[in-house]
Amino acid sequence: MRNLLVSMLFVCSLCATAWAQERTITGRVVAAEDGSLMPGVSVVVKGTTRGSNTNADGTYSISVPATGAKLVFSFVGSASQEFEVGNRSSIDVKLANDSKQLGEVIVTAVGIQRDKKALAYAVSNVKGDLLQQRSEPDPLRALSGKVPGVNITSGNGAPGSGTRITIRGNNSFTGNNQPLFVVDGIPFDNSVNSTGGYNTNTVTTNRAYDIDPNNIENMTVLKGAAASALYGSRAANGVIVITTKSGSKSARKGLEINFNSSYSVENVSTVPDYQNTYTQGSNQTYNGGFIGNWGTVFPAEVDRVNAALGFDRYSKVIDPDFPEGTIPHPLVDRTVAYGAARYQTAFPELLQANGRGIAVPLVPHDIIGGFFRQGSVFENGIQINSTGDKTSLNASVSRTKNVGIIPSSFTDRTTLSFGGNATLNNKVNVAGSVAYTNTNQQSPQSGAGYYADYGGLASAGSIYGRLFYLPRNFNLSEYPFENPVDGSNVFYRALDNPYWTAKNNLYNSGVNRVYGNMTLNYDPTSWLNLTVRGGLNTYSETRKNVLRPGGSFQPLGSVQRQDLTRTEIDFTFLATASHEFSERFSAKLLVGFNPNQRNYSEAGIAGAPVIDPNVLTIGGTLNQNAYDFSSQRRLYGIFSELTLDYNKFLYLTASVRNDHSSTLPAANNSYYYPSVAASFVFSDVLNLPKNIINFGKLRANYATVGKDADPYQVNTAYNLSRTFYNGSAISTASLPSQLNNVGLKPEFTSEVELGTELQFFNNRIGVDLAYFDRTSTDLIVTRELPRSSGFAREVTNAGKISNKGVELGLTLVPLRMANGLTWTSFFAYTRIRSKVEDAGPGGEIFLGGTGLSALGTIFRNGLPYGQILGSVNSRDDKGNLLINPNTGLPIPAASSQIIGDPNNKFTLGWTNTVSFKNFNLSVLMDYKAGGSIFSTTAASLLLRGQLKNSEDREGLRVIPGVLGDPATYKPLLDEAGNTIKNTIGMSAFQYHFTDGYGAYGADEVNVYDATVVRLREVSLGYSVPKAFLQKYGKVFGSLRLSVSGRNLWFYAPNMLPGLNFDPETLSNFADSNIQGFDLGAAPSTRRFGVNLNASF
Amino acid sequence: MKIYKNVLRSVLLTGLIGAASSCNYTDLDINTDPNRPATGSLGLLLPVAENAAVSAFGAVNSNAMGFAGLWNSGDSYNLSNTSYQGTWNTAYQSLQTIEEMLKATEDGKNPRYRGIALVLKAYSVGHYVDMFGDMPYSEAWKGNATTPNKSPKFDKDADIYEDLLKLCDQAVVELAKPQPIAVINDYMGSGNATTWTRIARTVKLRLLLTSRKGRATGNADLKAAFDAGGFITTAAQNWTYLYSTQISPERNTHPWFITYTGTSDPTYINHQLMGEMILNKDPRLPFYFYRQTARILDQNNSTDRGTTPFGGSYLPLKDSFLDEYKKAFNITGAIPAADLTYIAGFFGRDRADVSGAPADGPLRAAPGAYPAGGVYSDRSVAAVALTGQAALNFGGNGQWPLINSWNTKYYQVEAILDGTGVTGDAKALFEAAMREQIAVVVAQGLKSDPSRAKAPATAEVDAYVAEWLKLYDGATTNQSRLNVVAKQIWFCSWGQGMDIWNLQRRTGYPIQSQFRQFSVGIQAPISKPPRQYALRLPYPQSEGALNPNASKFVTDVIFDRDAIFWDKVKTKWEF
Repeated sequence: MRNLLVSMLFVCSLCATAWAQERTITGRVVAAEDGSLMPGVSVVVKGTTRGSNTNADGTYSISVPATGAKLVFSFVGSASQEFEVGNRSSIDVKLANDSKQLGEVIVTAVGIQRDKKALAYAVSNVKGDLLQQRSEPDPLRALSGKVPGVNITSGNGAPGSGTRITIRGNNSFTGNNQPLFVVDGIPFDNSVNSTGGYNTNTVTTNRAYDIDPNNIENMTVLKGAAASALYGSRAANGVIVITTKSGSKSARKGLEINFNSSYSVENVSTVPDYQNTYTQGSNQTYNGGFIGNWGTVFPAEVDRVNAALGFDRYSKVIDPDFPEGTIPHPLVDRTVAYGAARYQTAFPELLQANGRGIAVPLVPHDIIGGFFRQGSVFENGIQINSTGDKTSLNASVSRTKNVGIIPSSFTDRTTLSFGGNATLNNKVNVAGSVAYTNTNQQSPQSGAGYYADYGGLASAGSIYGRLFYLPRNFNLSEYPFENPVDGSNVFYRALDNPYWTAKNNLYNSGVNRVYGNMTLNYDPTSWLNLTVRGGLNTYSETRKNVLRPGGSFQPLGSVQRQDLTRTEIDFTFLATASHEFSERFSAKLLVGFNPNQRNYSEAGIAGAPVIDPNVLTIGGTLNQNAYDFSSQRRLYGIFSELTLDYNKFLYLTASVRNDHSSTLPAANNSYYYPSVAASFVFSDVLNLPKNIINFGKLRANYATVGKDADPYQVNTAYNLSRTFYNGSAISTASLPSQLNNVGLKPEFTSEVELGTELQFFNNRIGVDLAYFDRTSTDLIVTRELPRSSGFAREVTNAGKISNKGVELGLTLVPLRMANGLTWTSFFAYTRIRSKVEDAGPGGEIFLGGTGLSALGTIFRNGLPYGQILGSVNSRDDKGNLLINPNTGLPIPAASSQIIGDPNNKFTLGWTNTVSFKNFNLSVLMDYKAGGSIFSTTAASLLLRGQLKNSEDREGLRVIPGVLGDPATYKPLLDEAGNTIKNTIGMSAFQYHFTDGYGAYGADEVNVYDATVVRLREVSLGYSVPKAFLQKYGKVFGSLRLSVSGRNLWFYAPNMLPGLNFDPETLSNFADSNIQGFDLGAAPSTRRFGVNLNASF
Repeated sequence: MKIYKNVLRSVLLTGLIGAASSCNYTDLDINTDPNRPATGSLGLLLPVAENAAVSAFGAVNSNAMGFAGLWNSGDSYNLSNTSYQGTWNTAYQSLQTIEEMLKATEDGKNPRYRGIALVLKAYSVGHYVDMFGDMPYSEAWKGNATTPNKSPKFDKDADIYEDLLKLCDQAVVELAKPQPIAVINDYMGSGNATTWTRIARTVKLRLLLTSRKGRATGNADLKAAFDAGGFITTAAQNWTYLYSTQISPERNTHPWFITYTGTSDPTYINHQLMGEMILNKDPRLPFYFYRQTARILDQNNSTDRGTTPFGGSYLPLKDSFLDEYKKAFNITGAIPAADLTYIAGFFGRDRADVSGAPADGPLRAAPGAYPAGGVYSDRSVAAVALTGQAALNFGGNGQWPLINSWNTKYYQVEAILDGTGVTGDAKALFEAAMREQIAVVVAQGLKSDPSRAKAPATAEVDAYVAEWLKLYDGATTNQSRLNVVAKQIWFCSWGQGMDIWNLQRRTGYPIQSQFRQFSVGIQAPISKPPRQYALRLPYPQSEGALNPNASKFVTDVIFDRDAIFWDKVKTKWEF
């Protein structure tokens, strides 16, 4: 260290040496591209240390020797220029971008910058401005539809809810399939850290949400194994490399302050078409205690329905003691036992003198529309950049707040970051950045609604428990929801009223995240570069979940607090040697060492009962339970990469990484990942007509990457706990249900990728096509064991998955006119075929996911990844449904079957950009073709008689099929030996209810094709002309105004008509491999916004 | 040049500092779970093993009560190969801890722990064989063995029983040995060898009684066990599992008490059980059931009509019941309104009523003081819906009678009357059993609801017992006497599902008969159930899919056709 100081002092002393002055040169530096002024450009007298910088208006002044002086103008990111001073006294300079960077420079694995032309694998680069000011605060959702090979699924419409991202399919049965995120060179954890089930919380976010899209300079998606091979065992799912504005080393000219602001409003995207003809009840009879809508006809519709029937089947008198068109108030009347038992004294005003409830009109209400409110997204940010010849500084501050459509729901995110880099006089380059993010989220209890009704798992009194299918006549928004005496829950059944939940039972998460890195870079000789990079990414999250006493789910109330901390420390030591063997042939050798440590700790405390309903703190509870645990893992890799370049048209790259992981047994913890890749720019070799084909490249590569295990899956340890007997606590130890594995090995994914990049007709057509074939083996799975072994599951290496696919990025420029009108069309097409080659011993792995033993996600040999397994109705050989002759209903088959494939056939994102003069219009539509979804929303609404399409219920219905024997599952035959067509009629109620065609029947009837086309993003911008600004708004460097819309329209042609359901929804947390289920969570939203961007 | 050297040095130095500080990042020996121990001591395993026995008792308690027509749980026999996956899975998981204890005591240093583990195993596995028949046993629980076995073979039910009987004898031997270190955490037996030896002999008696018809030496062995004695015979010796009123930090109340929190609807209780107890003037009635409502549903109101129990089974409007009621209570003319509203509180269902459930949770009769630790509810206690009534949500310190003195007496009565060669005064034992069971019920009520519960007058109990002894005396054969006793056991089995289900499969009693005062049978299903009486539980599909040895059992064994080895009666319902 002392040596460093000494050397720095020495260098500085040189700077101070005085020089005789002879004359002064002045001038102005502007950018060659747009003529803008360039402050901070270094002006040095060549061969001396004499130097100056341009000031804010781009001018400079420097003393030079009388004769023979040469001035060197340099600026980070621009090509240096030298001028003989001669006898000039003024030199004006235009600096152009560095010619070496004329080709697109891409940040690839471990931060290596490479010319895109040389890359031998598919890489997509997304500029930050494509993610910003699009009415979308989630960086991953903003990426949706824009990158071929990348599949992004939005969880639901609650603020901050998770987003799942996968690249080139799924490589693991039970492990995480999401890519590694690397921000400014340091891994950025994107965990979900689910501390409860999806049954109790559907809004838990994934931590990539901590990245503000407004702070992204650039995002590179490393899709294949070859692209990410240097990341070794963390690269199996691809890598997303993000450069933030503050971590960016790219130059901006001079000092710039950039301000952006956006405001969007959001609304529920769609609501189902509800029927308003029939009331609460069953069998065409009103019943004030029911949930279903199979009751009598609403009084307003009675005349119409009776007229159509030709006789007076329905009456406007519902209860003989009540006036026509009215019912007794369902919260207090004796006929609804639940309310009568609880609320008669609380609401005397709802009671008549005779003890019956007051009369209320029997009319339908807009329950959903009344419940959801208008939300908003408000984003503000300032970025400040200052760049000099040897230093640059970036600072930014931004804040985003998303108020959700669900009462009491919001997220906010505040980011502060600071970064810079400097080339020291001793040629050491120092760069670094540090960022702080604070993210907060609030939501009422939001467990998946399915679990409350069918799945058999408690849902913590979720607002989605019944919200979408309450009785049409239940006046949710106007009936009281809390007891005026003690504030307790008020509802007509033993459920928490959604309004009461939204007011009282809130989940909160607060995250403080800090991440930073520092890089030292030094070239000891012209052919050698040494780089050391170290960084840290840490966050702690505090979650608090409160249930006020007086509810139905938790009558005594409870308060839960959890503290989660994740810390990742990562170093990279790189030595890069380059050598040009000849004009044509050069080589680059890189050797690196990458140690990494990840810590996780979690502590929680839960208190109950709540002492005072007004104080929902842990301290305000009578008793508490606490837990904590922590884990630590390490991984270090030694890697090397050799790149050969022949005449800038043939490139060969080979690399190998040797990883050592702490999470595997010592015997298996060292393993190798090789890769080899070649690219050939044939357009530079072959003499092709340049006006037809401007550029052509072929790529081919092969690589192996992998994945280690999670910590502590090697040895089986005991669980410590306690049991209670007669009120006394007793300490216990017992074996866990999961058997660990002392012979665990890493997972491997090998991939072959072939691709091409082509540009035609003056870049009017651009093609980037890739085909990949990847196979993942030795998958670490938690396999189910027969319970008679004493264990429920074991961790083992089993199975094999293959993914073959095609990715196409097609750019078309149909219009590029002299008047500036340009229309660019970009297609991102992805088609992946996955196959479970081997699901381990037993040939299948049932992952479940719905709480039911016979409905969930399954991996089965020979079938695509993650099929939907569920119960089916039995059929005859010809596929006719077998109908039970006693009931007229289908006969459920004995065992579950595959009832759907949730994988898309293909996805297509289509971005159209039209720019004219100062206007810019961008429209993104995407199409997800195929893929099944098990929709509990559809099932519930059918079952409960909610939908417009079940309004026709006066006649009898017959389920098409043939009569069958429920014991043998064989069709019944008539005397002639023929099957017998079912003619048994039944009411609409029977048809949809018990064992019918709704959620209580076979699962298969609730599976739909989720094909959906969507207008995902529209943005129309106007840049105020520079001339105008110079005249009227001199403070502005630029000013851009835009309007944007998000998820404006979708069409899912094969879903249940009238359900109007957005099939893009997650079935579980973002890191779960359960897919293809709609289990009832927040609906998706639609946003409109206005945006402002100004620079000063 | 000097500058250059210095710079190079400083860069190298910086690199070295970085490398040195990251040195411990290459230490990979950090994969031992810091949160969990690698071993569990016997004292920590024991309470889990005891819980396993309680869990065996409770595994299908509700459904077994339903099979026998005590309440509306599984009483339509619509069972499938997925119905009992959870039961099976939990069983093997919980029994694993008993096996861990047996492994850890092989060195002979802890004979008392071993003895206890042997008793717990015999008791628990016995229950599961009674449910499932053949099952993995000799090769089970070996997933973590030195030579792991992850697909154990199935053993014959009869063979498992032979081994379980031996375990009971071994337990007695082990328990007689000196235990060097005191047994801790033994909530069932306080580490007392005498207690556990008695339980061992009782468990053996139970196993011998259950399996008597399936074993060549069944009767002789049973007689020998009765003759040897040493089993539970007095109330003080009852093997009982106790709950408390504790709700936090963890709920420790009786599982049936959950209805008192207002978060869960009670299971429909069988109308015949409640109705006959009214007609029989059963002193246990106010202890068994809690009435939530006193309102008779108005058949002119559509909501009320939609909430009324199916097909004329609603007691306050059921003529045949009301006629019996008049006779039983010497009412001439109209039944007083107070009586009708009292009857309205016994809101339940008839056997095998499969109609959909309306919103009647706050109307259904709920479990009372015995065994749930709930609220006492005689005619003087106003019917109040439990929902929202914090004032009624105070108890829960109920119990499970694992094996009580009345059980061993009923075993002996059955053995005598069924001609096994076991001797004794059957009638005296019957009377003692009834009185002992009533005493336990009353004591439980006085404990859990001291402010309301009233011990029945001695005369009341005497009159009731006398009526049953009269029925017993009125029966002409030992078999019909056994049926009378079986019907009384049916009333005693409120909370002891396995015992009544086993009894019915073993003897065919109580027979099918009318719902009326002093009926000695149980009524036919009210609607034709999809399947016949459950002779066993269907094997779980999951075991069939995961264990190659299991698949044929899943497909070949039919739960309403194929009986357990000791079942020679093969009970059927008649519709």
